[in-house]
Amino acid sequence: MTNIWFDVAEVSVGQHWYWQVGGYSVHGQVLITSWIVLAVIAVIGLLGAPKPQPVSGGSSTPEGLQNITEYVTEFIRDLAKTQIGEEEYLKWVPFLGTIFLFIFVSNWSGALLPWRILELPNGELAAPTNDINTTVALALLTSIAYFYAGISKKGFGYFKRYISPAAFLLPINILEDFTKPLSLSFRLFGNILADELVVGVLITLVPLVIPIPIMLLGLFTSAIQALVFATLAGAYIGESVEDHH
Amino acid sequence: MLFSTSLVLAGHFGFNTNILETNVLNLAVVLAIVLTYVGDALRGLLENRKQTILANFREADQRATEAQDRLRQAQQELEQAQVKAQKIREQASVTIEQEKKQFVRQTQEDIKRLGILQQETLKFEQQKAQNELAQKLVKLALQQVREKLNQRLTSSIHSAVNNFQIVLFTNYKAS
Repeated sequence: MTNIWFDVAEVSVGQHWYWQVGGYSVHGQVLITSWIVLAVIAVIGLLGAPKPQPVSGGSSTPEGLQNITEYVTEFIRDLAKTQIGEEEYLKWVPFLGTIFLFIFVSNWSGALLPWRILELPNGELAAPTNDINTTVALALLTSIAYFYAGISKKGFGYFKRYISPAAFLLPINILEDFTKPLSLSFRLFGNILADELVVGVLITLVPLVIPIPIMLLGLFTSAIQALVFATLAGAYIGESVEDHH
Repeated sequence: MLFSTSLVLAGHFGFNTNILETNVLNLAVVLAIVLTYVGDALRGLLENRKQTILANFREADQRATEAQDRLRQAQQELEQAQVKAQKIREQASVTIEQEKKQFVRQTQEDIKRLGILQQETLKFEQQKAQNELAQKLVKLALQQVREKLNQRLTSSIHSAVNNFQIVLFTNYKAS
């Protein structure tokens, strides 16, 4: 029985630098880039944290990095508000912000940083979202999040949505819970991987100038993908907390 | 060991110095384009946001000073009103005092006048009673005299009385 699962787990795309962690094989190059992405976000967050302001008089304005982080925060809050709704959105801003920032910085790091300068024993460094494990993890987190959101708000009544508007839709509604994380993870993974593959192929064919438009397009699509992932996560959460009387 | 890195799949760390293979030139161009265009847009956006926030701050400051001014004005008005209220209260107490005094004085006067009236009435009633009594007495005496005279008046007694009266008058005149 376990063999089947291991066989399924063997499904992988490309070459990987495997680390053995407590009996598991993990993709080392993905972890390294993930940590770098986390470090970048953490450093920006710490440097751009709002400084304590004087309570009265001499109100100072957000400058530089603080301005950027505040703008990003506002952006995510707006996104959460439009997707989840006025009443519940504040609780989910941290989650959506984490998802959005991690994916966005991951994608852009893959498109902007010259990872290939560093050679690994096996495989190569790329965006963390270039690996299906990362995107599946993010999608499953989203699934857990919207289940938690719905059940914590409505209790057992959350499951009423499986038989609405009609009981015979039960199979489709259950299927939806599986297609949501599947589509989320494959969309992100596919977009980023396709970008990198196209750029890689073009580089081998025409090393200079020609890949540049594709790379710019990749930047655009990867930013859009981060937005799409966060928006859909918000929409799923909003869907499960909304009241339908 | 929990974190044993396996280097089973042979290979090595290193730097790829092949410029074309690492795509560094294209990345540099892309980075430059991104920094110019996206950076410009971002800078404009952030500047805009900063100005908005600054404007909001300024407006809030202005409103705060306005509110303080209004508060000060209101406090002044309150003080004035309090002073006026104090004045009114003092005046009222003075008026009340005066009214009280006047009322007491009036009452005392009334009492005095009533006392005088009472005594006068008493005196009048007394006099009236005395007068009535005197009249009755005179009437009774005259009646008795008339009766006596009607019953026992003879010529001898008449002359005796006359004589007696004459003697009395003479005595009266002599004295």
